[in-house]
Amino acid sequence: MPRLLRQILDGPFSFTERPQPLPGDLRVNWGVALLLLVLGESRSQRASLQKLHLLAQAARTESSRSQFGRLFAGTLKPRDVVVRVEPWVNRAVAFARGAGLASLSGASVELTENGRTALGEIRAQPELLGDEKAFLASVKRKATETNVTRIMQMEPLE
Amino acid sequence: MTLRLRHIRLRAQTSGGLFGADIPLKSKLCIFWADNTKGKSTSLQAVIYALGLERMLSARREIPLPYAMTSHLEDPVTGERREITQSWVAVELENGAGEVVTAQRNVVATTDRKLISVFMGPALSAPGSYAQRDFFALDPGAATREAGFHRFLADFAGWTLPEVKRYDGGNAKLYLETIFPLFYVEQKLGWSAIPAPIPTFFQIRDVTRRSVEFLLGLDTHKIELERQQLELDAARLKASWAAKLDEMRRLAGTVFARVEAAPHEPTVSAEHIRNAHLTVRRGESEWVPLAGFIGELREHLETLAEAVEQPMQGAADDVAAEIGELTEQIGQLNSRRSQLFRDKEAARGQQDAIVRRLEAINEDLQKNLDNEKLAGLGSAIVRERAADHCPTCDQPISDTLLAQGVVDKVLPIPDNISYLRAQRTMFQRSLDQATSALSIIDDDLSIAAQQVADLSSRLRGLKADLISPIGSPSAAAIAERITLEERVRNLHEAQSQFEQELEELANLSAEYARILASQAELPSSRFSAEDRTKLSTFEASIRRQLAAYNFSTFPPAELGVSPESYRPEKEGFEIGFELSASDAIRLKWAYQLGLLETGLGHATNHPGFVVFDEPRQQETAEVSFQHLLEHAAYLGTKGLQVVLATSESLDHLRGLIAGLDCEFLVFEGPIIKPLQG
Repeated sequence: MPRLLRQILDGPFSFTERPQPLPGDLRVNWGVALLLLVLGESRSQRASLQKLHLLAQAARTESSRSQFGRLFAGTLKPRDVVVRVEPWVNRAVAFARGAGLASLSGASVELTENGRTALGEIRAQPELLGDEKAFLASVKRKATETNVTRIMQMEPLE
Repeated sequence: MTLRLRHIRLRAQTSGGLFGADIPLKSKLCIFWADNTKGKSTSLQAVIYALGLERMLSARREIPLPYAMTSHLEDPVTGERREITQSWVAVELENGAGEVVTAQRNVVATTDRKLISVFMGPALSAPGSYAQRDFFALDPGAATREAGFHRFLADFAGWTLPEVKRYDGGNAKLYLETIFPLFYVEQKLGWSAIPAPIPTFFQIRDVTRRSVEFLLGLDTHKIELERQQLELDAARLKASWAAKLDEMRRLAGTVFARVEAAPHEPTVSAEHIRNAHLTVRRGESEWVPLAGFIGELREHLETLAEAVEQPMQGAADDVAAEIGELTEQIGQLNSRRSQLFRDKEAARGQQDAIVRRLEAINEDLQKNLDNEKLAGLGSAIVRERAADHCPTCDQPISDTLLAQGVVDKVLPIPDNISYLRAQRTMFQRSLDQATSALSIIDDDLSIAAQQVADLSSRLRGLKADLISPIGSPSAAAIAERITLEERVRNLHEAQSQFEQELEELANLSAEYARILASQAELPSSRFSAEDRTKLSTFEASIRRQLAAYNFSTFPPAELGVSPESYRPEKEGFEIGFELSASDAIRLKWAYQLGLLETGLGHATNHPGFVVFDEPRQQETAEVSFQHLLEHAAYLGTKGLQVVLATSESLDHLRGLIAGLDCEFLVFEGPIIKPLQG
């Protein structure tokens, strides 16, 4: 350290940790709510972990929604998109399970009674996760387990 | 603002003949005596029903009349039950202009009960043939539409009902049902509240306040509305001002000029507006006022005209030198243009980056708002688990889907939202800056292009001059002249349009001055001076009466009327349960007659009549009741009407009213009796 700087900084000093801002989609409630919505749009309100990962990631941002929207509409091919396995989805599943909102059997996740109540409450507020809801509803018919597997294997959709 | 009850009539056609009652009333204290359960309240409720006001009693649209008008009557002689086949009630009213009308409404009938027939004359007290018009009550629009009875009644009484705010944000006219309870105290609920049990189901904000303000003719609501209107006007004017400035800038842009010294905000100073002017670039970086510049160009044009007329002299060397100079200048200008192009690309890149950042911030903000809602939902998702505790082991964790420990302290959601909003504001500002930087570069580019074109045109002229025969006019001068003339025309046009815009700005400024003056004229407090006098008259009347009625809970001098709610208060606290039951009734008498009395010396909207059904509630002490009668009789001598219905013991009552100026109506037995013929 230069001598001058050392002269100036001769007193004791300390650092205080400041809370950090966090992207809204990395908050626990938001992730769990999105998870409930994905399950809610799935057959028997049940989905494989694979499908959960794909749809949660697809629904998360404006650009991913548009990309996956085109994929399910057929204007993009499975090889044009990258499906990532994101750890936040696993953590959201863990939290949802811990809170008794969803249950796990094997590799699939299912809404519990409490989960259905919570889903009803989220759906009752149209503006709450509005874009995400609209996206999930629009791809619901195409986003089947079979198609999810095909996307993962880079095969054409049904 | 005057209304008097002149006559009440009830009629019921039964299997045993016609029954009915007639109650003639005068414009003074009218005491109306009958024994309990003999139809006193029925007769008074008939007024409410005849005037289509039953919703002041309850939101249900049921007939506020007992079986004696709706189902059956008992023959007073034989005691036989007589079924009612048809019945109606009517009330004769007089207004301040001395006009009399009679409103009649069917109770048991085959016709629509919402119909009220109005006879344009004293059809009850002086039967005759009067013009008849039918109105409707209760339906939406009864208060506002031409055929609505309440609109007719308000017009007849001379009331201009104010616009008031509803809970749903819309506006509505104050309903008559919310005003009548202030002077019409019916027996069941009327005595239960001060100022009055005013219906709230009309969804009018602060309905009690609005009704009292209207009845006392206070300016405060009007002042408030005016204040809001003026704020709205000012905001609108600001928007027009900004739009006008935009227009001026666009105009300036068409001739590569700038608007200088234009006031950004509305101003009342004409000088400020006159100072605004257009400037144009002269040379590399000097900006000069447009008006002067046009003059300079004109002078230059004149010298050019001379040059054109003078035939070319053989100064080929000079011409060649100028050609060299011009070529050099054009070269410099072109290199400046390519620099500007590069700047523009950089500025556009920066603008795009900011736009992308703003989009990301907006998306994240939306997610944070969702999080706030989720937390506020009280929903199952939150009930089952708090965001900062592990649902399984209940240990504190940070509210994140990142691995625990990556972020030690997470910003709480509301702070996160403010943080994003602050960022958004900052980036919005940078975007504005980037946009304006781009537009400056665009301007500079256009100017440079124009200059290159001008210089090239002169260059071509000069080259032509070099090879043209001696003695012919200079082509360079002609070309420059044409270009210049075009430029001067355009600039001149812009200058005169700009002056027109300035004039319009001056008009806006005059409008702004009017708004500011009106705002300054509004009283600084909620109440006008006249309002304060009225309220203190009202308070004084209540205190005087309370003293006379032997109000004893606390000294009457300590009582006031809340300027907020117009409820009685003591030292700033509303009076509630601490009153004894009989003192509460005394206060009610004093309040209602106080409203009436305030109208004596001030312009209020009080109709000048009060109806008290059984004022002797809670066995208020006899001495109090006597004073009530005295005060009511006094108000009667001033031309006001007080109708009291009572079943006080008759002999006793006679004693109380001895010497009072009043109309005493005694009904022995049931009021509704079989009628002859």
